[in-house]
Amino acid sequence: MTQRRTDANRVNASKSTGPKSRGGKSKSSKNAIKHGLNQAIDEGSIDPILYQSLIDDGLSGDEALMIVMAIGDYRRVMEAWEYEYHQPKKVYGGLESQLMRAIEFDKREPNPIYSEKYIKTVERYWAIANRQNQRIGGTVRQRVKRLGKMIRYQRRSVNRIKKLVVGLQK
Amino acid sequence: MSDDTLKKALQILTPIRTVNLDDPSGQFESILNDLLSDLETPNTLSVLLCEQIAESIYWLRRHVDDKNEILNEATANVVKGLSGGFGSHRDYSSQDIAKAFQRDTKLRKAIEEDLGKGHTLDGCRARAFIKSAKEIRIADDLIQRQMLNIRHLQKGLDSIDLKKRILKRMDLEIKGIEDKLLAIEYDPKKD
Repeated sequence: MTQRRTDANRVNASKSTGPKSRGGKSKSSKNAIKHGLNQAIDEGSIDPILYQSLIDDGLSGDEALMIVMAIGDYRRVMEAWEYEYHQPKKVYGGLESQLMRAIEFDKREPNPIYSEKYIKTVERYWAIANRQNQRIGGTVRQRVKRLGKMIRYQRRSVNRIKKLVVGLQK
Repeated sequence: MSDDTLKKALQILTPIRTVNLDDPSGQFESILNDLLSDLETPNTLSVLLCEQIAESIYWLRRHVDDKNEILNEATANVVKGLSGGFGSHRDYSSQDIAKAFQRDTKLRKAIEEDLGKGHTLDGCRARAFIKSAKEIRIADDLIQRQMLNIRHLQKGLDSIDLKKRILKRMDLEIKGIEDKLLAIEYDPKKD
Protein backbone atom coordinates (compact mmCIF):
# COMPACT_ATOMS: atom_id res chain seq x y z
CA MET A 1 0.00 0.00 0.00
CA THR A 2 1.33 3.41 -0.88
CA GLN A 3 1.88 6.18 1.67
CA ARG A 4 -0.77 8.25 -0.07
CA ARG A 5 -3.31 5.48 0.33
CA THR A 6 -2.40 5.02 4.02
CA ASP A 7 -2.83 8.75 4.69
CA ALA A 8 -6.15 8.76 2.86
CA ASN A 9 -7.33 5.79 4.96
CA ARG A 10 -6.39 7.61 8.16
CA VAL A 11 -8.28 10.74 7.10
CA ASN A 12 -11.31 8.69 6.11
CA ALA A 13 -11.22 6.75 9.37
CA SER A 14 -11.21 9.98 11.36
CA LYS A 15 -14.40 10.95 9.52
CA SER A 16 -15.95 7.59 10.31
CA THR A 17 -19.39 7.75 11.81
CA GLY A 18 -19.33 5.95 15.12
CA PRO A 19 -22.34 5.78 17.40
CA LYS A 20 -23.79 9.25 18.05
CA SER A 21 -26.80 8.68 20.29
CA ARG A 22 -26.52 7.75 23.95
CA GLY A 23 -28.24 4.40 23.29
CA GLY A 24 -25.88 3.62 20.41
CA LYS A 25 -22.84 4.44 22.49
CA SER A 26 -24.16 2.27 25.32
CA LYS A 27 -24.72 -0.63 22.90
CA SER A 28 -21.32 -0.36 21.23
CA SER A 29 -19.63 -0.14 24.64
CA LYS A 30 -20.75 -3.75 25.11
CA ASN A 31 -19.25 -4.95 21.81
CA ALA A 32 -16.15 -6.38 23.44
CA ILE A 33 -18.06 -8.29 26.14
CA LYS A 34 -17.72 -12.04 25.71
CA HIS A 35 -19.42 -13.48 28.79
CA GLY A 36 -19.57 -10.66 31.34
CA LEU A 37 -18.24 -12.79 34.20
CA ASN A 38 -15.62 -10.17 35.03
CA GLN A 39 -18.11 -7.31 35.25
CA ALA A 40 -19.09 -5.82 38.58
CA ILE A 41 -22.51 -6.78 39.93
CA ASP A 42 -25.04 -4.00 39.55
CA GLU A 43 -26.31 -2.82 42.94
CA GLY A 44 -29.80 -2.54 41.49
CA SER A 45 -29.92 -6.26 40.72
CA ILE A 46 -29.30 -7.54 44.26
CA ASP A 47 -31.85 -9.71 46.04
CA PRO A 48 -33.73 -7.42 48.48
CA ILE A 49 -35.08 -10.35 50.55
CA LEU A 50 -31.58 -11.75 51.11
CA TYR A 51 -30.28 -8.30 51.97
CA GLN A 52 -33.07 -7.74 54.50
CA SER A 53 -32.56 -11.17 56.12
CA LEU A 54 -28.85 -10.44 56.60
CA ILE A 55 -29.71 -7.08 58.17
CA ASP A 56 -32.23 -8.86 60.44
CA ASP A 57 -29.43 -11.23 61.48
CA GLY A 58 -27.46 -8.29 62.84
CA LEU A 59 -25.17 -7.34 59.94
CA SER A 60 -24.63 -3.69 59.08
CA GLY A 61 -26.01 -2.32 55.82
CA ASP A 62 -22.59 -2.20 54.19
CA GLU A 63 -21.66 -5.72 55.28
CA ALA A 64 -24.96 -7.12 54.06
CA LEU A 65 -24.62 -5.31 50.72
CA MET A 66 -21.07 -6.59 50.18
CA ILE A 67 -22.08 -10.17 51.00
CA VAL A 68 -25.15 -10.09 48.76
CA MET A 69 -23.04 -8.73 45.90
CA ALA A 70 -20.35 -11.38 46.44
CA ILE A 71 -22.98 -14.14 46.50
CA GLY A 72 -24.54 -12.63 43.35
CA ASP A 73 -21.16 -12.70 41.62
CA TYR A 74 -20.59 -16.32 42.66
CA ARG A 75 -24.08 -17.32 41.50
CA ARG A 76 -23.48 -15.71 38.11
CA VAL A 77 -20.33 -17.81 37.68
CA MET A 78 -22.04 -21.00 38.85
CA GLU A 79 -25.00 -20.48 36.53
CA ALA A 80 -22.60 -20.05 33.61
CA TRP A 81 -20.86 -23.22 34.84
CA GLU A 82 -24.13 -25.19 34.76
CA TYR A 83 -25.01 -23.76 31.34
CA GLU A 84 -21.66 -24.87 29.92
CA TYR A 85 -22.01 -28.29 31.56
CA HIS A 86 -25.31 -28.95 29.79
CA GLN A 87 -24.28 -27.63 26.37
CA PRO A 88 -24.95 -30.20 23.61
CA LYS A 89 -22.12 -32.06 21.95
CA LYS A 90 -20.60 -30.49 18.87
CA VAL A 91 -20.03 -32.73 15.89
CA TYR A 92 -18.14 -32.20 12.68
CA GLY A 93 -20.73 -30.35 10.64
CA GLY A 94 -21.59 -29.71 7.06
CA LEU A 95 -20.70 -33.23 6.02
CA GLU A 96 -23.84 -33.90 4.03
CA SER A 97 -23.79 -30.59 2.15
CA GLN A 98 -20.07 -31.03 1.44
CA LEU A 99 -20.77 -34.50 0.20
CA MET A 100 -23.57 -33.36 -2.07
CA ARG A 101 -21.37 -30.62 -3.53
CA ALA A 102 -18.52 -33.05 -4.07
CA ILE A 103 -20.54 -35.73 -5.78
CA GLU A 104 -21.18 -35.15 -9.42
CA PHE A 105 -23.54 -37.78 -10.59
CA ASP A 106 -22.45 -39.30 -13.80
CA LYS A 107 -25.48 -39.09 -16.06
CA ARG A 108 -24.23 -41.91 -18.23
CA GLU A 109 -24.15 -44.31 -15.28
CA PRO A 110 -27.36 -46.32 -15.07
CA ASN A 111 -27.20 -46.33 -11.26
CA PRO A 112 -24.79 -43.56 -10.14
CA ILE A 113 -25.18 -44.32 -6.42
CA TYR A 114 -23.27 -47.58 -6.89
CA SER A 115 -20.54 -46.04 -9.04
CA GLU A 116 -16.94 -46.36 -7.89
CA LYS A 117 -16.53 -42.59 -7.84
CA TYR A 118 -19.49 -42.16 -5.52
CA ILE A 119 -18.31 -44.86 -3.12
CA LYS A 120 -14.80 -43.39 -2.96
CA THR A 121 -16.15 -39.89 -2.26
CA VAL A 122 -18.39 -41.18 0.52
CA GLU A 123 -15.51 -43.16 2.03
CA ARG A 124 -13.24 -40.11 1.96
CA TYR A 125 -15.79 -37.86 3.65
CA TRP A 126 -16.61 -40.52 6.21
CA ALA A 127 -12.94 -40.77 7.12
CA ILE A 128 -12.67 -36.96 7.43
CA ALA A 129 -15.73 -36.82 9.68
CA ASN A 130 -14.41 -39.62 11.90
CA ARG A 131 -11.03 -37.95 12.21
CA GLN A 132 -12.54 -34.57 13.01
CA ASN A 133 -14.98 -36.01 15.53
CA GLN A 134 -12.18 -37.88 17.28
CA ARG A 135 -10.22 -34.64 17.46
CA ILE A 136 -13.20 -32.70 18.85
CA GLY A 137 -13.94 -35.51 21.34
CA GLY A 138 -17.13 -36.80 22.95
CA THR A 139 -19.62 -34.92 25.11
CA VAL A 140 -17.59 -35.31 28.30
CA ARG A 141 -14.25 -34.32 26.80
CA GLN A 142 -15.83 -31.25 25.22
CA ARG A 143 -17.50 -30.09 28.42
CA VAL A 144 -14.38 -30.65 30.50
CA LYS A 145 -12.43 -28.44 28.10
CA ARG A 146 -15.13 -25.75 28.22
CA LEU A 147 -15.34 -25.78 32.01
CA GLY A 148 -11.55 -25.70 32.35
CA LYS A 149 -11.61 -22.17 30.91
CA MET A 150 -13.97 -21.01 33.66
CA ILE A 151 -12.00 -22.15 36.71
CA ARG A 152 -10.41 -18.76 37.30
CA TYR A 153 -13.80 -17.00 37.61
CA GLN A 154 -14.86 -19.46 40.29
CA ARG A 155 -11.58 -18.98 42.14
CA ARG A 156 -11.99 -15.22 42.20
CA SER A 157 -15.63 -15.20 43.31
CA VAL A 158 -15.27 -17.83 46.04
CA ASN A 159 -12.21 -16.05 47.47
CA ARG A 160 -14.24 -12.88 47.68
CA ILE A 161 -16.96 -14.61 49.70
CA LYS A 162 -14.42 -16.18 52.05
CA LYS A 163 -12.62 -12.90 52.69
CA LEU A 164 -15.88 -11.09 53.44
CA VAL A 165 -17.31 -13.76 55.75
CA VAL A 166 -14.07 -14.34 57.64
CA GLY A 167 -13.68 -10.55 57.90
CA LEU A 168 -17.02 -10.34 59.71
CA GLN A 169 -15.49 -12.05 62.74
CA LYS A 170 -12.84 -9.34 63.00
CA MET B 1 -32.71 -32.12 67.46
CA SER B 2 -31.32 -32.37 63.94
CA ASP B 3 -34.85 -32.59 62.49
CA ASP B 4 -35.76 -29.36 64.24
CA THR B 5 -32.56 -27.72 63.00
CA LEU B 6 -33.28 -28.88 59.46
CA LYS B 7 -36.82 -27.55 59.63
CA LYS B 8 -35.60 -24.21 60.93
CA ALA B 9 -32.81 -24.03 58.36
CA LEU B 10 -35.18 -24.85 55.49
CA GLN B 11 -37.55 -22.18 56.75
CA ILE B 12 -34.74 -19.64 56.54
CA LEU B 13 -33.51 -20.93 53.18
CA THR B 14 -36.78 -21.14 51.25
CA PRO B 15 -37.30 -17.39 50.59
CA ILE B 16 -33.61 -16.71 49.86
CA ARG B 17 -32.78 -19.81 47.79
CA THR B 18 -30.01 -19.08 45.28
CA VAL B 19 -29.20 -22.49 43.75
CA ASN B 20 -31.57 -23.88 41.13
CA LEU B 21 -29.81 -26.91 39.73
CA ASP B 22 -31.22 -29.10 37.01
CA ASP B 23 -30.83 -32.27 39.08
CA PRO B 24 -33.57 -34.87 38.61
CA SER B 25 -31.65 -37.40 40.75
CA GLY B 26 -32.24 -35.27 43.87
CA GLN B 27 -28.58 -35.64 44.91
CA PHE B 28 -28.15 -31.95 45.58
CA GLU B 29 -31.18 -31.81 47.87
CA SER B 30 -30.01 -34.77 49.93
CA ILE B 31 -26.50 -33.27 50.33
CA LEU B 32 -28.05 -29.93 51.31
CA ASN B 33 -30.39 -31.51 53.87
CA ASP B 34 -27.48 -33.39 55.45
CA LEU B 35 -25.44 -30.21 55.75
CA LEU B 36 -28.31 -28.15 57.09
CA SER B 37 -29.19 -30.70 59.77
CA ASP B 38 -25.58 -30.51 61.03
CA LEU B 39 -25.76 -26.76 61.63
CA GLU B 40 -25.70 -25.72 65.25
CA THR B 41 -27.53 -22.42 65.00
CA PRO B 42 -28.86 -21.83 61.51
CA ASN B 43 -29.01 -18.23 60.35
CA THR B 44 -29.22 -16.58 56.93
CA LEU B 45 -25.49 -16.55 56.23
CA SER B 46 -24.74 -20.06 57.48
CA VAL B 47 -27.67 -21.51 55.53
CA LEU B 48 -26.57 -19.64 52.43
CA LEU B 49 -23.00 -20.96 52.76
CA CYS B 50 -24.31 -24.50 53.29
CA GLU B 51 -26.26 -24.19 50.04
CA GLN B 52 -23.10 -23.17 48.16
CA ILE B 53 -21.08 -25.99 49.79
CA ALA B 54 -23.76 -28.53 48.82
CA GLU B 55 -23.57 -27.28 45.24
CA SER B 56 -19.78 -27.64 45.23
CA ILE B 57 -20.07 -31.22 46.55
CA TYR B 58 -22.59 -31.94 43.79
CA TRP B 59 -20.22 -30.61 41.11
CA LEU B 60 -17.31 -32.46 42.67
CA ARG B 61 -19.17 -35.74 42.18
CA ARG B 62 -20.11 -34.81 38.59
CA HIS B 63 -16.48 -34.04 37.72
CA VAL B 64 -15.20 -37.28 39.28
CA ASP B 65 -17.73 -39.13 37.09
CA ASP B 66 -16.56 -37.11 34.08
CA LYS B 67 -12.95 -38.05 34.71
CA ASN B 68 -13.81 -41.75 34.84
CA GLU B 69 -15.94 -41.39 31.72
CA ILE B 70 -13.07 -39.77 29.79
CA LEU B 71 -10.76 -42.62 30.74
CA ASN B 72 -13.33 -45.28 29.86
CA GLU B 73 -14.14 -43.62 26.54
CA ALA B 74 -10.45 -43.44 25.63
CA THR B 75 -9.94 -47.08 26.70
CA ALA B 76 -12.88 -48.11 24.48
CA ASN B 77 -11.21 -46.30 21.56
CA VAL B 78 -7.89 -48.06 22.21
CA VAL B 79 -9.66 -51.44 22.42
CA LYS B 80 -11.45 -50.64 19.15
CA GLY B 81 -8.14 -49.81 17.50
CA LEU B 82 -6.36 -52.93 18.72
CA SER B 83 -9.04 -55.52 18.05
CA GLY B 84 -8.63 -55.79 14.30
CA GLY B 85 -10.47 -57.90 11.80
CA PHE B 86 -14.04 -57.74 10.61
CA GLY B 87 -16.88 -59.58 12.28
CA SER B 88 -14.66 -61.27 14.84
CA HIS B 89 -15.32 -58.67 17.52
CA ARG B 90 -17.97 -56.25 18.70
CA ASP B 91 -17.56 -52.56 19.52
CA TYR B 92 -17.32 -51.88 23.23
CA SER B 93 -18.79 -48.73 24.71
CA SER B 94 -17.36 -46.81 27.66
CA GLN B 95 -20.09 -48.39 29.84
CA ASP B 96 -18.85 -51.85 28.84
CA ILE B 97 -15.30 -50.88 29.79
CA ALA B 98 -16.49 -49.54 33.14
CA LYS B 99 -18.36 -52.80 33.80
CA ALA B 100 -15.32 -54.87 32.81
CA PHE B 101 -13.16 -52.94 35.26
CA GLN B 102 -15.66 -53.22 38.09
CA ARG B 103 -16.89 -56.79 38.40
CA ASP B 104 -17.85 -58.29 35.09
CA THR B 105 -15.06 -60.87 34.64
CA LYS B 106 -16.92 -62.50 31.74
CA LEU B 107 -16.97 -59.26 29.79
CA ARG B 108 -13.34 -58.58 30.66
CA LYS B 109 -12.36 -62.00 29.34
CA ALA B 110 -14.32 -61.41 26.13
CA ILE B 111 -12.62 -58.05 25.55
CA GLU B 112 -9.15 -59.51 26.17
CA GLU B 113 -9.91 -62.36 23.76
CA ASP B 114 -10.88 -59.81 21.11
CA LEU B 115 -7.68 -57.87 21.77
CA GLY B 116 -5.57 -60.86 20.92
CA LYS B 117 -2.22 -61.98 22.23
CA GLY B 118 0.11 -59.49 23.86
CA HIS B 119 -2.62 -57.03 24.84
CA THR B 120 -4.49 -56.68 28.09
CA LEU B 121 -7.27 -54.39 29.22
CA ASP B 122 -4.98 -52.83 31.81
CA GLY B 123 -2.45 -52.10 29.07
CA CYS B 124 -5.20 -50.44 27.03
CA ARG B 125 -6.16 -48.32 30.03
CA ALA B 126 -2.54 -47.21 30.41
CA ARG B 127 -2.40 -46.26 26.73
CA ALA B 128 -5.73 -44.43 27.05
CA PHE B 129 -4.41 -42.53 30.05
CA ILE B 130 -1.44 -41.28 28.04
CA LYS B 131 -3.65 -40.41 25.07
CA SER B 132 -6.17 -38.40 27.07
CA ALA B 133 -3.71 -36.97 29.61
CA LYS B 134 -4.63 -33.39 28.71
CA GLU B 135 -8.35 -33.81 29.35
CA ILE B 136 -7.72 -35.83 32.51
CA ARG B 137 -5.52 -33.02 33.80
CA ILE B 138 -8.29 -30.50 33.17
CA ALA B 139 -10.78 -32.82 34.91
CA ASP B 140 -8.38 -33.00 37.86
CA ASP B 141 -8.24 -29.20 37.91
CA LEU B 142 -12.04 -29.06 38.00
CA ILE B 143 -12.13 -31.52 40.90
CA GLN B 144 -9.40 -29.60 42.71
CA ARG B 145 -11.30 -26.35 42.21
CA GLN B 146 -14.46 -27.76 43.77
CA MET B 147 -12.44 -29.07 46.71
CA LEU B 148 -10.92 -25.64 47.25
CA ASN B 149 -14.34 -24.02 46.94
CA ILE B 150 -15.65 -26.31 49.66
CA ARG B 151 -12.65 -25.53 51.86
CA HIS B 152 -13.02 -21.76 51.42
CA LEU B 153 -16.75 -21.79 52.06
CA GLN B 154 -16.24 -24.07 55.04
CA LYS B 155 -13.73 -21.63 56.50
CA GLY B 156 -16.34 -18.91 56.21
CA LEU B 157 -18.95 -21.13 57.80
CA ASP B 158 -16.58 -22.09 60.62
CA SER B 159 -15.81 -18.47 61.33
CA ILE B 160 -19.52 -17.64 61.75
CA ASP B 161 -20.33 -20.77 63.70
CA LEU B 162 -17.18 -20.35 65.80
CA LYS B 163 -18.21 -16.82 66.63
CA LYS B 164 -21.58 -18.13 67.78
CA ARG B 165 -19.92 -20.89 69.77
CA ILE B 166 -17.52 -18.42 71.44
CA LEU B 167 -20.46 -16.18 72.40
CA LYS B 168 -22.35 -19.20 73.73
CA ARG B 169 -19.33 -20.33 75.73
CA MET B 170 -18.82 -16.80 77.06
CA ASP B 171 -22.49 -16.65 78.12
CA LEU B 172 -22.10 -19.97 79.91
CA GLU B 173 -18.92 -18.79 81.61
CA ILE B 174 -20.56 -15.55 82.73
CA LYS B 175 -23.50 -17.55 84.04
CA GLY B 176 -21.10 -19.90 85.84
CA ILE B 177 -19.24 -16.96 87.42
CA GLU B 178 -22.56 -15.38 88.43
CA ASP B 179 -23.65 -18.66 90.04
CA LYS B 180 -20.33 -18.86 91.91
CA LEU B 181 -20.69 -15.28 93.09
CA LEU B 182 -24.19 -15.96 94.30
CA ALA B 183 -22.94 -19.08 96.05
CA ILE B 184 -20.24 -17.03 97.82
CA GLU B 185 -22.65 -14.31 98.78
CA TYR B 186 -25.23 -16.76 100.01
CA ASP B 187 -25.15 -16.95 103.76
CA PRO B 188 -27.47 -19.60 105.23
CA LYS B 189 -27.22 -18.08 108.73
CA LYS B 190 -29.09 -15.06 107.54
CA ASP B 191 -32.08 -17.23 106.58
